[in-house]
Amino acid sequence: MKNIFSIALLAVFGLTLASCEKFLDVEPLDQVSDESTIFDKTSAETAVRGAYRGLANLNYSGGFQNTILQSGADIVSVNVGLTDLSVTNYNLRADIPFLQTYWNNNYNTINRANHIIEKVPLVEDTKLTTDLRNQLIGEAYFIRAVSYFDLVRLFGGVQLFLTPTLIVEDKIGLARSSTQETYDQILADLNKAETLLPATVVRNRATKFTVYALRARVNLYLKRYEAAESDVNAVLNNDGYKLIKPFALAGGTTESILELSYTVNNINPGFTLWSGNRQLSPTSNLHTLLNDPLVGGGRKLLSVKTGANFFGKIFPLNSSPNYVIRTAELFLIRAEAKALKSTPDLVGALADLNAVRERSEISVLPTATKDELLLAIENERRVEFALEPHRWFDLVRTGRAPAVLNLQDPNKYIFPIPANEIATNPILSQNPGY
Amino acid sequence: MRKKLLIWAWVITMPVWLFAQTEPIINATLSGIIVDAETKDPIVGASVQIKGTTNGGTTDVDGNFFLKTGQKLPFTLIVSYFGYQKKEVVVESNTIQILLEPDQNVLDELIVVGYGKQDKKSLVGTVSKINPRDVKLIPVASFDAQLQGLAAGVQINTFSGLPGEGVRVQVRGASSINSSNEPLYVIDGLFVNNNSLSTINLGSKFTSPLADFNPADIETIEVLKDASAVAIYGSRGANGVILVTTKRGSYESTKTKYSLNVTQGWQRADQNRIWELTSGSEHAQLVNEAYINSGIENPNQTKYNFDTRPFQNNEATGVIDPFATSKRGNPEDQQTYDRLGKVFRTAQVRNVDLNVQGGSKNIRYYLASGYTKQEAILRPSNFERLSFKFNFDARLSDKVTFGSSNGLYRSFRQQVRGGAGQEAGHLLSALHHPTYFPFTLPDGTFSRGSIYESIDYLIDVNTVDISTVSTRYLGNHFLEVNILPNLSFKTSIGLDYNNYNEGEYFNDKTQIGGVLNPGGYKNQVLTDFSVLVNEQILSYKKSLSNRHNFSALIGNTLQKTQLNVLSATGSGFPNNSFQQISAASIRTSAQSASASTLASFFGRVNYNFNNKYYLEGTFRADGSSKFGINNRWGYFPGVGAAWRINNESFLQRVKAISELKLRVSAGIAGNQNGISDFAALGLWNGTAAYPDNVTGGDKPGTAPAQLANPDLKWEKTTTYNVGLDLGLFKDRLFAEVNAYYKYTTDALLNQPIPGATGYSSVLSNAGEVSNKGLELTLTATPVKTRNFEWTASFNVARNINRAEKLISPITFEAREYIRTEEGAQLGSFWLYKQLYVDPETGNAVFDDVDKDGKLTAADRQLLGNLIPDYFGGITNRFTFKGFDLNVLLTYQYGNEVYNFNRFILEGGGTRDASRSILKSQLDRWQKPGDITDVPRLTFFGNNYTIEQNSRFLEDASFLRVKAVTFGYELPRKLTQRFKIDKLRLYAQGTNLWIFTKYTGADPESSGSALQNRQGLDTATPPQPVGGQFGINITF
Repeated sequence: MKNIFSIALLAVFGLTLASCEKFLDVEPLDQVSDESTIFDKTSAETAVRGAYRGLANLNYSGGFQNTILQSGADIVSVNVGLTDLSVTNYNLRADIPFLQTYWNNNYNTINRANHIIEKVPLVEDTKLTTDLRNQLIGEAYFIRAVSYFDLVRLFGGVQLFLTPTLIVEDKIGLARSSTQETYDQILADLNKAETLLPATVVRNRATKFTVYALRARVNLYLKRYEAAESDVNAVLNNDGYKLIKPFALAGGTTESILELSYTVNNINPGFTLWSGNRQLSPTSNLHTLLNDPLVGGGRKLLSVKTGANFFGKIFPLNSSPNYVIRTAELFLIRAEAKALKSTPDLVGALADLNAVRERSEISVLPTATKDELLLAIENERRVEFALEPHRWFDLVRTGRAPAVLNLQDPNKYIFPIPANEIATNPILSQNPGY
Repeated sequence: MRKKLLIWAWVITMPVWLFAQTEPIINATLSGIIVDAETKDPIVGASVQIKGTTNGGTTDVDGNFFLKTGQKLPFTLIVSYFGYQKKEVVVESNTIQILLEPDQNVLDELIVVGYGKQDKKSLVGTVSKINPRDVKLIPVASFDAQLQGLAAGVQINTFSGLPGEGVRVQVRGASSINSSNEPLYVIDGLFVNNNSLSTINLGSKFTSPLADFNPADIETIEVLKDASAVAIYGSRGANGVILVTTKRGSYESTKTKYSLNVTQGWQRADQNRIWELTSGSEHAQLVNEAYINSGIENPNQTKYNFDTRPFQNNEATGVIDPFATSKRGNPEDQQTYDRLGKVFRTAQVRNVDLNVQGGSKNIRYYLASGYTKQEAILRPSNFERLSFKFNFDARLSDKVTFGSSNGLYRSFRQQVRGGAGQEAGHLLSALHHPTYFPFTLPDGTFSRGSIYESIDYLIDVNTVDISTVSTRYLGNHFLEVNILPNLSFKTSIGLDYNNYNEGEYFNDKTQIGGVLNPGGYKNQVLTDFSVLVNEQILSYKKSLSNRHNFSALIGNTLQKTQLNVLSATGSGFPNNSFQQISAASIRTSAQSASASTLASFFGRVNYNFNNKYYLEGTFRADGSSKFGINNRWGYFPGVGAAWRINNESFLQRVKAISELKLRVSAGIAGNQNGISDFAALGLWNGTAAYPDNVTGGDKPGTAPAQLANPDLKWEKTTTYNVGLDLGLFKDRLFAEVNAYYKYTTDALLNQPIPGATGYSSVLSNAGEVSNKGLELTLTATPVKTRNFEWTASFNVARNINRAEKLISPITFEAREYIRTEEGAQLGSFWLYKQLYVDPETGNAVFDDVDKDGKLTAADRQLLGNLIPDYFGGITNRFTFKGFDLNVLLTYQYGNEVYNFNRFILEGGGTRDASRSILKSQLDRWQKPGDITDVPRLTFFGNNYTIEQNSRFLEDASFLRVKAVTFGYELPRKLTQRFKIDKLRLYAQGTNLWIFTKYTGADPESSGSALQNRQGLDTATPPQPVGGQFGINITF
């Protein structure tokens, strides 16, 4: 009995605090803690892939595509919900939840890129060659530029965070930068990426050519036409980037400059927009245009009528890639840039436009005035990117929204800053009109 | 329990006495009957003994006894029986009738408290004991749902009519925002998991792990409420503790007791409360009206107007085609298709319980098995449970006792995606499909609307099969050693093991298995969960001169919780005959694991002076692996005192007052339930794979997932309680009043942080929450005669909840319907207030709070709350001879529900083909002068585009006839002939009637069971109205 008693006492009180602390140390097995994330070649590579996954599944979420496509008015929601009505009526309020989602998604990816930009230069691993190190850092700069570009297109100037978030206080108290400052940062990131990335052709990750392609678009938005033209030239001079004829979905072809990859484990969030539950449908107008042999030509495969319904066909599988930049866009950017630059090159512009028309097997335009040409480019973009989120941004960027969308209030050209973002960081200012 | 034990003790010891008695001197006998002085019922097993001798006996089943006295008259007889006052009678003849006065002091009952039992009269803490008789009134799978209305301050709501689903249980309000508000469950000393293991998509519904457990095995349930009672559970006690004790055998029982209980019942949805939808042509008219009105209102656009209205004759084809996007035919040509009728059914409920209770000198046992099958009123859902229970105790010596409680359970669930179930949302499909939409396409296949699966596929388990098998073992083994007469040591080891195997299958005809994942889709998830608990307790008891009573205990607990999840999915099966993942052409798998540990030391000291003044002190220290290294240990003290005023001399003469006790307590308890095992760490996850080139597959990728918070610590709730127990007229009227104040500091919450950080929130101790309230329980026996008794009990609780401190408001739910902000109640609805519909224009007029002439987020206000102001229950029980009638009413007052179904289905025709329309939409404004709150139908303006419209917030107060039971126990004289001790036949009715202003199917429904997302009623089946018959036989 004495024995039992002493064992008991030992059990109750014998447990020293030290062994207790050990008992209380439990480490996760399927996640790793912050300190051991980027420390060698492999972990640097996995972090960069994670940033691309952010780009693919967060930035280009189904919701983002949905909103931008519906704002462009050629695509409608199959089940008109109230949110859809606020989009199509251009009556957004700051508390509409998707605004916060797009905002968070882009900043989530930016944080991933910032971790890489800060930590990869410090990695000590002989297997991490200088070229690879530069490539990984350059990719992070590119990914950050894409995300800030989407933010500035959606919301106007935003806060510029260039370091990873370690504690919340890091990021509170910084006000929004101006639109110009945001674009300056995007260009700075792209220029930095240009110096770091290799001049190779990889279609689902960033290279020097991808940087040129995105910079061409950014320059077009900034109305820096000469710069846009020279960026386009830098890409199209490479044989790896050509239009494919007849028109076909671009995945893995020379048409593709940057596509985002999906697999059965990380499925394309855009897939359910068109297939799955079919949240979206081309309008009958758009369907008619695409199926008009004089307008859509080969692009008729993008909209198919079954019974009484129109089906958008851009992602045949849930692992189909998402196109961020295609060769056709570069031709149309250059056409627009040539037409608008200080010494317009209308012949060159027409040639670029006709290159895109030709490959879709529609008649080339013989001649055109500058205004006719610009309208033709706008209309070409409308059908060429019928199911890609361009038209809304194009109409806003070219000042054509009042005429085409009957949207007179310029405050509506950018979305409101999410209400909760202001609630948690009151230094943020709301966009006018919201 | 004690009463039964004593009966057995009497029965057992009687023969011993008979042998021990001295030989009679003379051949005299005495026969007699012992009856209850009030009811005149015979008392079975009462003891009689001749004073001054060992000669005695006990009464038989008719209350008769017979003694060979060997005594000369007169002599004195001592008569006693548990629950009655002991009596000495002078015997002057050979036959006698003795009346025993009931001992009215109900306070003699034992109450289970943390790590022990206490007399109710010496209780310092606030503990509600739930009468096990009342628990069995409601035929639901899990015992927590059966507690509604039975204990003051314990709010219980059943979110849906699906058996085995989660239930809300809140003791004295919600004190936490993101940590769980559910109480701690302890079954036979074992901490039992109450967090659902379900991972597959059930439409934000969850299965209840408590439904694994068979309520028939329960002996008692106690709810610990105040600090003095819960502080011994330290870091997990803040939300209250529910202690469940299961049945055990009794030592030295002469007779083994067999008990069989069989019930059969039927349930269905209350037809008067099921949603009323517009007919096909009414639907079409309303949609057309929205188009036409929009055209008049905004002639500049061409999208919505008279010409584009969808329901009009198609001149080109002349065909009525409800599937077309436009020109579907005139409204009057549309048919009506009833899908609700396809999903609701009369469900069968069946239950069989068999148990054996017995024991011998040194062992005792309880052996039980049970089978339950409950169909849901919603086809094809059902719940089936097989349970085995074995409780065993053995006295190894006069000092050492070994005991074990074991339960093995297997629960099968045929499930549906309830609530917001996306493409396979079950009731969504039945309720939200437009009624004009035919069941089948022209080619004969089942049709589906644009959002939801065809209901015909969802109700067919060959097409869509969602099911789960939960295999669970709950066991606790202990060894107790009485080291010294006053000192005992107990060590125990317990295991809560759950193997949870879920599967969902969609064949290639469905959206999920046909379009989203072509070739059929199967997902199988195997979750393996275990809680291991080791506990040591040393307890000591001492009385000095019968006035100073002292007891103390100290102990420790080590607990380890482990979770492993393995899942596999497959799609692309050769055909629908292949349903195993190995046959799938595309297969993926995933694995995850989590673990946490808790180390605790605790102690309690009780002292009372002369059974008048009571003092209690408790303390617990808990160390948890979940918290930041800087704040791993938490310390939780509690103190309480009680004064039994009726034992004071100045009250002893006041006969009317049988009990008067004042109790006060204060203490601190903690909470960590519901937060992630690794909540304090900054984490990256490894799921962000991405290919290195377009032809390569995914390569591993990592991404930040969670922001670190090394300072993360315990949420602590300080509770003060003052209680008064008052018993009048020998406790015929008993009242218990408690007032409490709970203040929670360092409340765990997902603090919203700017999205610009890359994260949306961080778990932090950033809040403070208070709860204050009053609870009243009244129990009365207004009538008690020989044949008729009426007992009534009533309880009511008022809780006032307030978020005292928050860094910024926190919103919940995709549309941010629910918002918690400083100074307001948790779970308030955050809405735009529709003031009225302008009778001239038909436009909804909203409250423009900031008077800027525009409707912006600044105009949203907190309107109503999902937490009731008052709630409780009323029980009335009548017994007349062998008949008994029990009526339980439950009620809730002052809470609101956002009727999300109405919001979706009163969309003014703007949702056209995507959703059905409720009949209530017909009350819309149509012409100047119309007075209504349903605005003019239009696509434009604010009439139907404000998602958070207060119009759909409804008063969800209710009074419910929860359960009515009518039973008849056959006279024992009759049943004895068939060797049956007891035979009771009964009929029960459940949810028979409800009084409420709520227009949805059930004011308790919630589309989501997630904390902070409750109170939105989305496509959830109501609790069923049911009736059942049962028979209970004891041999």
